[in-house]
Amino acid sequence: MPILIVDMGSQYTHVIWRAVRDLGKEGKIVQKDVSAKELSSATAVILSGGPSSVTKDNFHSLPAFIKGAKVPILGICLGHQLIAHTLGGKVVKGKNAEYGLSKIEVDKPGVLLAGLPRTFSAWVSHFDEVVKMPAGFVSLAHSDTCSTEAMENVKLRLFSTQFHPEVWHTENGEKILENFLKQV
Amino acid sequence: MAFSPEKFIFQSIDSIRATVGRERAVIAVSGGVDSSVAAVLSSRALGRRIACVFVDTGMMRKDEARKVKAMLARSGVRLSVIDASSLFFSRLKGVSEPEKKRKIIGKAFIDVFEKEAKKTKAKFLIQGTIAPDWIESGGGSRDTIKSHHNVGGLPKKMGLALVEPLRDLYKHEVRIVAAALGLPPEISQRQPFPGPGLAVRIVGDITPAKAEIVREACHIVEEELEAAVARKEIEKPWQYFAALLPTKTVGVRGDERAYQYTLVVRAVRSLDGMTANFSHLPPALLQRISTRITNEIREVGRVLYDITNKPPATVELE
Repeated sequence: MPILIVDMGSQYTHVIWRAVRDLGKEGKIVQKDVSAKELSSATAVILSGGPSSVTKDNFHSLPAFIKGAKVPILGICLGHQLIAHTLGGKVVKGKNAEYGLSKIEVDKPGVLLAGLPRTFSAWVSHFDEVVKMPAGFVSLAHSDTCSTEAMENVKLRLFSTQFHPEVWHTENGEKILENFLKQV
Repeated sequence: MAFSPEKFIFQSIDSIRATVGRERAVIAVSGGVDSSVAAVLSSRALGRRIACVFVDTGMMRKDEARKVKAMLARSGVRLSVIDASSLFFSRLKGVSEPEKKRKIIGKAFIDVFEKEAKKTKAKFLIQGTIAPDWIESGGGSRDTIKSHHNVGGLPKKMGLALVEPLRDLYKHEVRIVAAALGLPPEISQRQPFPGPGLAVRIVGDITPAKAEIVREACHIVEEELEAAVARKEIEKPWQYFAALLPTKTVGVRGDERAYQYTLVVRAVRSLDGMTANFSHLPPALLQRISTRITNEIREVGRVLYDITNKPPATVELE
């Protein structure tokens, strides 16, 4: 069974698909109105970024799926914000937008950032940010403008990053995706 | 299970044959690595049932038609060149909105190809569309960043069925396929060139005179950068070019006031075009480029270097 990559409108959804393929796994791109039934057949789910906002847009079956997930989920950018918002965290429009290069400082590698250097460059493209994580999550990294660049709840196998591990300009991005795929 | 060019070549030749069947096809070749690879794959799949066409829009690089024809001839692709520059310039006259320009160019391309298809009795149009083209053209919940002329710029009604053998590939993968097909480095390592050509490097309205300025400027940037790469002073950027702004600024030439165009030089690093950062070119190289442009092109009075990454900018200006 494939890893479902939910396209929430990111420019990089197909790049995620390519990265998953390059790591030897089969990925399948689905739209964000994917049915609960199809979601439940996945071995893992990756939620892409996207131009909309978690407080304004309709995410169909995704919130219920995140709440009851039995498979590992990785949220990227908007996907990261959707996990936080759905599980009781807080997402607001940040004071400063972040576009392009950002310096990520790892506070606690956890599972997702295991084996990464303490600081690395990552590519970001967002305005909204997670200002309060849901209960049970651990913040793994921050940048100058954003307090939660990555978070995880190992027990629930939920992982997420505000930056984009799938793009070439993010250092060690492939390692992050590999860490996630090890959970599958 | 990294990308395998042999498997890809085998599968796409099969799939082109299955799609086109016994019919004929016409392929749009720009001389870039994408369309060249698509042309070689199509020629291998369809033999004499494919017509390879290069449309000179008047917004191509310096000497492009002649160079591309010679390069591809060495790889067994017979190219016919159609000079459609007056059609393109007349339809673009007075248009400055970037998306409108791209749509006009897409439509003009199709008109030329439909005419060509009639002559050759082709039912299919093959294009070297790659993943970033359709990704950036929007669809689903994806915003339209720019309408690539081979996707979003295409008119909805088209008398030809579209075949896109490279749609799931990125540039670095196309280059691997090009090398596996035996294409020479001058094609496989060629820097990307946008489908609408120099039209997206002329901010604002387009005239043949402006196209000439930007063509010369791109040529100077290419010459100087490639020479620096050959001397091993810099690594080869992903893309490097000049773009013309509609703004004039004041200068002084030989003690006389001048009021001339502003030109932007851009060079970026990337793997796949999806993200990019501006190249840190040495000041001496920037100096040579700026001096040559302002001395060799009378209409340009000021040269800027673009220091924006993607995101938030894109590689090209429009």
